[in-house]
Amino acid sequence: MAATLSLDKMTDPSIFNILLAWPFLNILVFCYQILSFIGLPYALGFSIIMLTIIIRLVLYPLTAQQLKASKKMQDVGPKLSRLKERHKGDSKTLQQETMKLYKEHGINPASGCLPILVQIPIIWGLYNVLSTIVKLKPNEIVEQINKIVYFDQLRLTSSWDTTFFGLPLGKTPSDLLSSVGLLIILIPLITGLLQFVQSKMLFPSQKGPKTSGKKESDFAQIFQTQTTYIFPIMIGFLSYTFPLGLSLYWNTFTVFGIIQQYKMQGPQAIQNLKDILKR
Amino acid sequence: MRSGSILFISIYQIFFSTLLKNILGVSSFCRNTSLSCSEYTKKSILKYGFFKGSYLGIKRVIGCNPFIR
Repeated sequence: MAATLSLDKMTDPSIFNILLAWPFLNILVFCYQILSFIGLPYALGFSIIMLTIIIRLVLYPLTAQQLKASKKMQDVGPKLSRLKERHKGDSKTLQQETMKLYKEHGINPASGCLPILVQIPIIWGLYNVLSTIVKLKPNEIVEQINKIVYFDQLRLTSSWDTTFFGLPLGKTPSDLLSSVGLLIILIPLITGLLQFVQSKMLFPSQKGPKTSGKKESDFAQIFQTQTTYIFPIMIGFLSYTFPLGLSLYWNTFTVFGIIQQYKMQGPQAIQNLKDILKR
Repeated sequence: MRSGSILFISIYQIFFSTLLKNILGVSSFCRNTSLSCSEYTKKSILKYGFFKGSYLGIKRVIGCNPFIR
């Protein structure tokens, strides 16, 4: 998450803007117009939430298959490690047996990495758009946004309210610490916690026999376990220095991911979380 | 070039792939469970050299989607 767009750049017809910034911005303004039409207060904040949900829903089919397959794969994990133990050194038989096992359990790992990789520029583009617009100054909002909207109906007539429940979306928790007080720390805490919940759901603590793999994959395994803790802390710290509007985006994004996991794993997911809390 | 690209892929495998999984909420990327695309690319670069190896790797990533069997 490196450079953000500077203000005059947002209206530039660069390839990045045309493909990855303006479409999102138009959906955002569309959401904003609907929400402010029905008279919802803090329409901008809610538009950010709505935009994130829309994007996640559109991307959902790309991940759904993956989630289903990986859930089933987790279930046959113990059987797979037994197979690996039995056919150590005979990779050909192992592969055949693995495929057989998958077939038996109806696992069709049919998605693949391309649908996942496609999502990266989209998430990054969304991040860029949001970090730019929450930082717009009131006098720039109407002028800049109206240059980018596709349809006349979307044009803004007045500047929008840049606060969300009294908190300015363009300010970071570290900016607000002196004026709002310690309570603002809750935002990075919640952001980190949600991320932790999702990571834990993704990579529950390993049970049963460990698979004996190569040294490197062991290291990757260890790193993966550690990341479950490191990554949420990192995200928490980042959100302390990021505009609130971005935390809103990020948390909506994560909550959607958690719901996705929950739908895949069912009640088991809650049980896993309880087990962690008990420890 | 060869060892540089191998190092690059290894770093990706250990760090970025894990971070991406955490961000996107997916626990595994691969449909071919015996060999991931990055591991495949690594092996091809070692076997065929940087250019042909990368080409094979890219070809595989693009082919790795639900529309192509």
